[in-house]
Amino acid sequence: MNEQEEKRQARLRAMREADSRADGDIGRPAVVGAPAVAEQERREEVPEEVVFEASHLNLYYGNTQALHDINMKIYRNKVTAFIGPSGCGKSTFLRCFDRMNDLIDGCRVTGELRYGGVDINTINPILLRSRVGMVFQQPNPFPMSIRDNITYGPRCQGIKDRKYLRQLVVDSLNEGALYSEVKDRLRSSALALSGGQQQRLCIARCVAMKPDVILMDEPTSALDPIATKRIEELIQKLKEKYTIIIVTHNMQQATRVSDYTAFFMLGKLVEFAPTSEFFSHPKEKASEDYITGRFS
Amino acid sequence: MNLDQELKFIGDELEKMFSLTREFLRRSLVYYLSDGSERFDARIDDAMVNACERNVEAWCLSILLREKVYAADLRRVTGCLKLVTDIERIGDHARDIKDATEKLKSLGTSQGLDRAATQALVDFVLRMYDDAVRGFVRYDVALAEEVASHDNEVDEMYEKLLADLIAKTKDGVVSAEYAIYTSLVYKYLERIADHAVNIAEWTVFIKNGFHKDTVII
Ligand SMILES: Nc1ncnc2c1ncn2[C@@H]1O[C@H](COP(=O)(O)OP(=O)(O)OP(=O)(O)O)[C@@H](O)[C@H]1O
Ligand SMILES: [Mg+2]
Repeated sequence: MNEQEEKRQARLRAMREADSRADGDIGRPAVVGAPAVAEQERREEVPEEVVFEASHLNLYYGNTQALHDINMKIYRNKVTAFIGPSGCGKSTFLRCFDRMNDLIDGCRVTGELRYGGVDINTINPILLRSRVGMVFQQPNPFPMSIRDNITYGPRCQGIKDRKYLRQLVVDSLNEGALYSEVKDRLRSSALALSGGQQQRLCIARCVAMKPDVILMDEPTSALDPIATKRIEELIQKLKEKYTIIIVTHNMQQATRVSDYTAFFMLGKLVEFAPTSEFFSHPKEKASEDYITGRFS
Repeated sequence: MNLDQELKFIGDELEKMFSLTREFLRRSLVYYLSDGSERFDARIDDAMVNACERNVEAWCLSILLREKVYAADLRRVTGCLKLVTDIERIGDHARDIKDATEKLKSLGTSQGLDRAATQALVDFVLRMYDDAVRGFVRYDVALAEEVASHDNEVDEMYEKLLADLIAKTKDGVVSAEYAIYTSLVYKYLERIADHAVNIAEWTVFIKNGFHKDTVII
């Protein structure tokens, strides 16, 4: 830690102490430091529940190593953003969480990834994927009705109760912030929806499986700014119930929606930090160069 | 222009403002401290300072509009946007001192002037401003912190001069008009020191994100 960083930390400590001393004192200024700082302080006080933990994780496509010794935690009810230049391994790492890499020929993983403390390789992949949902860059609704898109997964799990399914459609579409727009055409094709609506349908479809974690790989990069804003607001709401990991190339999106940011380069995790810290005081030079656009 | 060039342009414009206001201030104070009928050397005015301020503001805002700035860049742009106001104010006070001096000269007397003590305050304030500027230009946080630490000393010098002036007024050594305009000059000097402190504090912010005792980002 350099001298300036030490001073900064000392100020933060002093602020925190002054803050706790002044508790309940109406006279003090309402805002001491940015809200981001206050939030970060709280974070330090309450230990967070770890949902996923990667330790010494390596991934190979054939003979090429795509991920190098990744050590990282994913926290419950938080949004974690993965950022980094194209090809750095964000999608590859994301696919580890639902074991989608298992389906790729020649792909091999070493090290450990634990879900709720359990090695994910010991969990039935089908079960794992019902707990860990994925939303892709290109909205990919099934070529069936809006309603059937939602009920398809639960039906495959053997749920037949029509009343339950009817309610599930309403609830999931509400959670996907789509219900009011489609409530009169639940039986029409999902492919007739706009791109932004399709993406929200995909989120609703994911939510209908009652997952624990939602993975999103550049979920808004095919959408216009308004549709993007709706999805971002939705993510903020969803994190109250779910743990979210989002890959994004849009750094403003990362600052808007995420609590933690992980920055990758060439298959390595360069820095992991609270998002507000990461974008204001990155610790690594490579991170600073990347976010300030001086990366070459 | 890329971002680095734009940041350099803003820095250059601020330095131009520094030297304009510094020279403006020097001339005002020479005028104030002179005892004869010297005329004010009026080749600099605050319109030039204001034009620089507009440039700095316009560039900072245009960067914020076009670019998404993070980390050190964000602190630099917002810090400059804050401290440009302080430089501009110092320019205003240079003009204020000149105006007050004109009033004083029209009274036709300088017998109440405590030259040594006033000169001491003037030197002290000018050094603070110079150091604040050097701290900013060289990115020297230690120097900036030192400038900020001199706040109280200026206040003490100011209080003492003021008390002295009050005593002289009560004793009838100086007229009420003289006392009022002189106290204004003291006040402007004290304000200039405050702005120098602000510049120093924003320099610290640009470097590490905290301002006074608060971590802003
Ligand atoms: N199925 C695969 N087989 C072989 N190599 C792959 C495969 N998928 C990805 N890779 C390689 O692994 C590396 C990481 O790719 P990945 O798709 O994870 O990057 P990314 O960070 O998601 O990039 P982008 O931002 O462009 O989506 C790249 O070099 C890529 O070529
Ligand atoms: Mg990818």
